[in-house]
Amino acid sequence: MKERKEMVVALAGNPNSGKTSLFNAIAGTHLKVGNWPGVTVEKYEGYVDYKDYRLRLVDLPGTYSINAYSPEETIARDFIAEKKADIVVNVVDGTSLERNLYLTTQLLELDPKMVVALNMYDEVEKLKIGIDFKMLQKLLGSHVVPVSAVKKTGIEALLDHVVRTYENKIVIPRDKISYSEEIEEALAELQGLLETDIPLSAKFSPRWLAVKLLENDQFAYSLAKESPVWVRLEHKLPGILNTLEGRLKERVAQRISEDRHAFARGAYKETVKTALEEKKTITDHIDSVVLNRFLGVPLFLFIMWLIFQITFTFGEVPMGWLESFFAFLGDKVSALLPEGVLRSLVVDGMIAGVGGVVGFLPNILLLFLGLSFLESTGYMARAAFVVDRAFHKIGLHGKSFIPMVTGFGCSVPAFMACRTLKNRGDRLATMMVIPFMSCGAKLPVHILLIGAFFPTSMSANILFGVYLFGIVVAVLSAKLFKSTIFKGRSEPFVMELPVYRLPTLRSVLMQMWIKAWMYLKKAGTVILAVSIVVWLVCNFPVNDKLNLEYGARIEAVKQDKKTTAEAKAEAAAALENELAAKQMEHSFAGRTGKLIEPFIRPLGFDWRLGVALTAGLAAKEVVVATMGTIYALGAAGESESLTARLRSDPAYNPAIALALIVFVLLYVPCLSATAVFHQESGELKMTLFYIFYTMTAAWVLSFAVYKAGSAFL
Amino acid sequence: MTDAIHISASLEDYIEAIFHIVAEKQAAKPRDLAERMKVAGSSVTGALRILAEKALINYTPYDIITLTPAGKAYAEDVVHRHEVLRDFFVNVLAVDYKAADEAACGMEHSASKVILERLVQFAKFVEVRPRGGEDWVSGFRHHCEKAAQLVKMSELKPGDKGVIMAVNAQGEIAQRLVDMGMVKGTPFKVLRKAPLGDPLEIQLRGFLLALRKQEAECVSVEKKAGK
Repeated sequence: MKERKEMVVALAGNPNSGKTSLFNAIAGTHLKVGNWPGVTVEKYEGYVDYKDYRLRLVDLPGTYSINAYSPEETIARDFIAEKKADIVVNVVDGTSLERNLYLTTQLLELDPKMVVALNMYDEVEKLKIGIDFKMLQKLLGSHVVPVSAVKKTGIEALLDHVVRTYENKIVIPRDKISYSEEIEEALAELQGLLETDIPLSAKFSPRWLAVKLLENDQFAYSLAKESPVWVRLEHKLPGILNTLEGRLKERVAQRISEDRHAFARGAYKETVKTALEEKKTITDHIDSVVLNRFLGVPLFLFIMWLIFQITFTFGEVPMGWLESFFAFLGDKVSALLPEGVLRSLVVDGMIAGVGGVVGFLPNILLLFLGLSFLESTGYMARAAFVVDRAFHKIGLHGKSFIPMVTGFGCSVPAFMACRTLKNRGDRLATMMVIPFMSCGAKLPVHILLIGAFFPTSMSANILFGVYLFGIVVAVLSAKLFKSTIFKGRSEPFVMELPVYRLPTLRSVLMQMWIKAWMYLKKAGTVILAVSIVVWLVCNFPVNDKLNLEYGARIEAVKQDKKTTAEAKAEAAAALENELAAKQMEHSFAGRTGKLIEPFIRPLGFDWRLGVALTAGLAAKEVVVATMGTIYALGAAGESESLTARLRSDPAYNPAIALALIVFVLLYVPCLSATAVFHQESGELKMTLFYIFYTMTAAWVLSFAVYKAGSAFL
Repeated sequence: MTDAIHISASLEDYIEAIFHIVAEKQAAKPRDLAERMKVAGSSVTGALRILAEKALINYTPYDIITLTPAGKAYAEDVVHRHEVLRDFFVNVLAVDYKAADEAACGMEHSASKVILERLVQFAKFVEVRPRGGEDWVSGFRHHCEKAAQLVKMSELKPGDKGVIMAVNAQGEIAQRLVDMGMVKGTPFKVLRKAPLGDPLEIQLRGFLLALRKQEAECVSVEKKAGK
């Protein structure tokens, strides 16, 4: 087979224009998800073979404009301006052409080889919207191909046009978008000047540069400043701008935008004939219920509750399967490997560590399934609309609620969900308070301690109180952050409420899978490494003397002829656990526990809790497991006896239990969450601050609770 | 819009100067500032410290100075006041540019928003009604009253229709609003308020847009009669 020629095809368009669905429809499963360099904006790449070509597809972030106000806009603009794409496919929503064409006007100015994909054509036909394609093509100077990503129609024709445009077999004369006379005169002058700089105008369209200079665009300025033409430009530009501003009597950039909108509106009016104006659409009907003054909030709460129920109820079953699978794997590997350090490392360290995290996969899949469904139907934007006021009061954004609610399940996807917040301050403030939303892994700790120290009749109320306490701390912290370190304007709430659409199963599953895959990749790398480290500190150094001593005692018990086989096994197991506890005390983790005892003494905690809390840095469930080991009571599962033991231990009382619950609730989440926090924040400084803040909050509030509890209980 | 920070006139001059230097060179050094303001280096340091305390600039001694987003918004406001005054002096009062610029520099700190808006109105009025006469002043009053019929988008009620007349904001918010199609002459309809009373949902250019009252306050509109 002969080598296919590669060409890069960039997809550009508005959010909600169905760009990603079209991308999926074309690329199928040849999909790669990564990040754009330096920013937390997802980058989708894929390819498709067509005729003699391999079309490398790049899905640019969806934007309404390319003025470079957000990272998304900058990415899209740079990609096209720097001619990284051979062909640009501008995806427009055929049912909302007027707004979509605004971005088209800006793309045209960059003068790329372009094909317009008029998406959602099935809906256009259903709504009886008549579009004059010939006219539209003439106005835009690009071929316009009707497609439907959902119905998969017109894809072949689109690819055909892309290839033919690439081969220069389609050339439509492209008229420039004309601006007001005053602006055109200034543009002519600037363009003339820029064209004298041949290398610069070969790289960037001089007209585009001229427009951008008038718009006071930083990127255009820096380009111009690096070029020889700047010497002449520098003198002329302020004069041109001053005269222009004087003539227009408004800001130049504003007028340029107005003219673009005017062009989009004109093109729309000339080419689109709609039969039905002002008719109440399905979206109106749904919104009049969903956004109703009285029903809006309860419905929102109900939908969130439902997602939770689905996530945690249905997730439990496959979670059990995964747990038994990893237990089975552990057993098999144990049988294969000789007893010793290697076996312990692989089974107790790697398989147990990664298995513990992968165990959450069903929950995560279901949560993301629900969230992607809400996102692609259009409800998510409404949810942000409904709760924005409450969130704005505490200094956050309507969009903060999704990550915060997700945080009740697991902080890892919650941090990832913060990507929808574009403003750095809003995003970081939300991420900082997520750890206070009590995650699923903390639940066993709460249950154990509440069960041990409080009457059953009160336990549900106390558990509810614990969750509420976390929320209060989160709200107060958010307020604190937004009035101190993340001060400044928060992100404006200017958001499109997309028309309701029923998403295809395929696109929802695809979105879910992409998220899940990212999570799994982390389990394979960061978490694996962390598991090994945790195993090391819990198992080394080994006290050989203890091993010998207990080995002998266990042997003695086994040889004992007076007892039954059952009693023998029990006694041996007790001794083995005692040995494990002693070894733990001797290990780095145990020493750390002793080392930090002075710091946690004021909270009423002793060194044993110090070890449990240190181990809890790896994962919160480990707190219970570790306490089990230390109390020499065998592995988890026998938590009842652990409960009894805790209750009878004179070193503990309800005040300490409450302080411990508060500490576990607030202190730094597990290492995998922290790793994800670091990756998403992208700033070491922030990660360190996040560790410091959660630790401080945990200590101070535990101390307060301990003191108050000792006084009253 | 409500989180107003107030700083003294001389500090306003500083922040304005920083704004211009940053526009030229990306970041300012205390020395540039001293040169531009024609003051001693020591007084610059004092002023910078106060501005940094108010979180308007990023500044540590011996380092470059940049504006925080709040500082940028503040500086843009000062510059805007300066420009309005200067243009009024040049275009209406026919003062020469340099003198107008200097006068604007002195007056920009004290001119209130209302006065500035009236000056802009007046300049426009002069253009439409160039001839004098007895009714000229009352004509201007009428012109202002007509302008006062413009309301903020945030004051409209669900069901109201209107036409956008101007976006009175700067920087990112202005750009966001304009990018979403909020430009002069755009008809729109207020659909509803969110259940908690904020944000608003409006319909324009064939799509639905949600925005907070805070943002809607920046948009002046002409209300259309009837529902």
